[in-house]
Amino acid sequence: MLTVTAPSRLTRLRLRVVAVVRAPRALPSRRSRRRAAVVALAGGLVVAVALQLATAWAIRSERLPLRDPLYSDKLALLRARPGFAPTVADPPPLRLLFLGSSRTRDGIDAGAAGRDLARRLARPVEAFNFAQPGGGPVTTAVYLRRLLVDGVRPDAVVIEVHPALIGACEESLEAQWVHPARLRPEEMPLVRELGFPDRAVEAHGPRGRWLALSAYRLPLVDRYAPALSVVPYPVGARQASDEFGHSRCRTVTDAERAKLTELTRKQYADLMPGYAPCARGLAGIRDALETCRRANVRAAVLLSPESSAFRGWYPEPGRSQIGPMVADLAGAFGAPVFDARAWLPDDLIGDGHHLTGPGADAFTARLSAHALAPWLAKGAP
Amino acid sequence: MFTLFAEAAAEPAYQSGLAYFRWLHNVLPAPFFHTQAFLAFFALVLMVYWTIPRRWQMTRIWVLVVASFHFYAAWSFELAFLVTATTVADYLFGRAMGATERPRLRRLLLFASIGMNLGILCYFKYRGFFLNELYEGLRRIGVEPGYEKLNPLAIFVPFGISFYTFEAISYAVDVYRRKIAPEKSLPRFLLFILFFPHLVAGPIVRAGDFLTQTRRAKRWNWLRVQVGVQLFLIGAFKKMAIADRMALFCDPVFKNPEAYNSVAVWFAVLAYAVRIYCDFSGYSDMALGAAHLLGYKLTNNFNMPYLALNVSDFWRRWHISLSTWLRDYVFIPLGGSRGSRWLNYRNLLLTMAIGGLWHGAAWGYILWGVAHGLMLVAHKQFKDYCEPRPRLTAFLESYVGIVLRVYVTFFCMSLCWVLFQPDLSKALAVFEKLFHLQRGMGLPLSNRSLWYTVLFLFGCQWLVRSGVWAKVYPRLPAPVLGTGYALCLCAALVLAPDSGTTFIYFQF
Repeated sequence: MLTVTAPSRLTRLRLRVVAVVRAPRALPSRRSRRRAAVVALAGGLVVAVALQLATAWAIRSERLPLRDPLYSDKLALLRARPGFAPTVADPPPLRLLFLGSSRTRDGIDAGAAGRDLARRLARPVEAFNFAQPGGGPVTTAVYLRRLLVDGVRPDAVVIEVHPALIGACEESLEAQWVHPARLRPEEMPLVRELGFPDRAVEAHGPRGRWLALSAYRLPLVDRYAPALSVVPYPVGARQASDEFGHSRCRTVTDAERAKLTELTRKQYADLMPGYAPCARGLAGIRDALETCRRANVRAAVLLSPESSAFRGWYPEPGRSQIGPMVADLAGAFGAPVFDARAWLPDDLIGDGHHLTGPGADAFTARLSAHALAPWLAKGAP
Repeated sequence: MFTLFAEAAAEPAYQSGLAYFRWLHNVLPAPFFHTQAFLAFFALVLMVYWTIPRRWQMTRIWVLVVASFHFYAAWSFELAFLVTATTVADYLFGRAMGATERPRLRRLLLFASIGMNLGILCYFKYRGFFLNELYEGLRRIGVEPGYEKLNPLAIFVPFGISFYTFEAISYAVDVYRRKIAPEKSLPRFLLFILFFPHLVAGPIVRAGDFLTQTRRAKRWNWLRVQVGVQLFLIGAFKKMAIADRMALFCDPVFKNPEAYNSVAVWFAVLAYAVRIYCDFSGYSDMALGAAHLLGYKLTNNFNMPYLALNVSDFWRRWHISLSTWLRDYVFIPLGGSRGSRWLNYRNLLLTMAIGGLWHGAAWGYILWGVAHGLMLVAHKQFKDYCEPRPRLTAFLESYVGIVLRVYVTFFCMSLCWVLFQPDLSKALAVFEKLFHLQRGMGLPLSNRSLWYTVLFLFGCQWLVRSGVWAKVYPRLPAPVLGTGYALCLCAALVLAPDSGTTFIYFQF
């Protein structure tokens, strides 16, 4: 053991370091130093390449939940629910999934809905909120397919339609929110077909394989070194939602509501002037309904609550076309439409379309009692 | 295929040249060391360079000259030709100076060389500033200037012009003073100015150091390669993992200080101090590393400047190649420390103001230089004040005193960096926010990350400064060192933010 006292002036701060390495007896020869340099350089190269390849493999094979942390985290939460676990109780509960955007994630307390529905239907109900921030029709279609592939077997699915997103006929607004790196390579043809722009995804190409640490740096830092992340909130869903996938928003004051509503207005300002719902915008919902039909899963469509101000931003005739278009589509698949756009007073809505905590309670109670319970009771499996 | 060739031949020569440089620009859009395009370019140069037998030394030099020209031409081929042409002119001035013994002719040649270099520098860099100031001055006294005010942002400043201008001037002065013999070989001289690792952002190399190296036959040396790779990796880490992350904290605030609250502005000042150091020293480390891989040693440009004990010490550690250049070619010719105290202070202020102006044609940079000059003067005064007071000196030499001095120096430097921007009004707005607590937006970023970065940086420097690293490093087993390199690279890749920024010092 060697006690090293550094010689500089600064070390008068009694900086003493105990070096655990043995002091060399003599200066190594030039040849051995050269050999050490080669070993260090070659070793460094091998370790760097191995780290990149191992990370790429772990991400691609989903052993590390980094490709789409939002999905992976929520799937982990879902699998932790007894009703959705691989081995379920006998008799199995009625499994209900909610899919959609942050409106649904914040607006539906799936735990409360499950308990309420269990009481009303007199049977166990396992409800889970799988909605994601930024999730529009295309995300819903992709996630539903993924869930089925990943072995999740819901009995019923409630699919949210975000009216603003079905009006983005030229360029999908949702595509700006859902980073394509979150998608699996085999999902790219589907999302292009459903309206996403044809963009090359670096993470799917050689960069994702050879430079995986760079291609997936944001989720990597967020998950494994959050102290170094500059983003002040976690990217994954784990910390943001309860065990049923619901995020509860706080109550806001009138002044805050006005400010938040203004921010929302700015967010949708480009979309609203020429707004009109279109078949292309609804392609994702059509695909999700089609997937449900093929998988023999009952589906319903939900138009979530919006404040009177938000509803006023849709110009006519687009505003009047939303209900009939969604009803026509759902009707083609025999799915009911729960049009809840005007169900809640403005003071229960935070920023024009995301519900506050009390708003979520009120909405969940009404949705369970007046929409879900009658629908699920009708053809209970 | 034949048709293609025929069409290409039918084109005028300059058009085919343009097409080639356009292609080159697409392949290597910016001369930044931490990009994949540069790494590919560098790998190619390394391969060709080391494949050439050692006895063909001149061929190797030509390879580097051609590579350096392409490196610059990929960004702007017109300016690459301009730099090459001025370099050839400097070479000829040097040769002419060496060929004559007549003092007046030698002086004339010296002034011609300096005039040409400063003329080009002024035309590109200072024309807009001086014309705009003249415009404002004339308007203020009621005279119509007769020309439109120039938009400073629209003025095209070649990358690294200040760096290679200073290199060329130092060569001419050294030849004139007979400190060095004029270089006889044109390719060697071209390499001295155009050598791509130092071309765009230094370090400012001296002809005496560099040209001697060009005469030595280069051998592939694994120890040197290790040093080069190590420096390059450290530089890349500083740039990608620290400087670019810190830019997220300071850039939005410095762009629009009025919108942010005082706390966010203080954080931005701290982040900017860290950013500018890691950005520039990161670039310098990469330049040194790249040069080592080609068998050349450039001047070390930084020596842990934020652990400086006073402003004078800071300038011995910050941008060393510039500070020594200013000392040798401005401060000493002005009289240096000789003469009266006031003359010395005047020389210091003038030198630092010129140093500020060298960084950019704006009042912010000049004031930054003047502020440093004033601090140097104040430090000299304080030193004189301390000399007859042994108790005060003892306190300053104690542990607490040292920490205090490092802290005060860092604090002063950080505040001075606020001035270091082209828009003086923004700098003043930042100062107003700093010292007059005001409300506004907070930064929507995690401050924890900023603190960890600052602690990490100071921790690393402390390890080196205290000598611990120097003792531990040689004892590290090679596999541990190799793993360290891999982790350094991986950490740089992981911690780099999405929005990588350009190098700050490229604009100078």
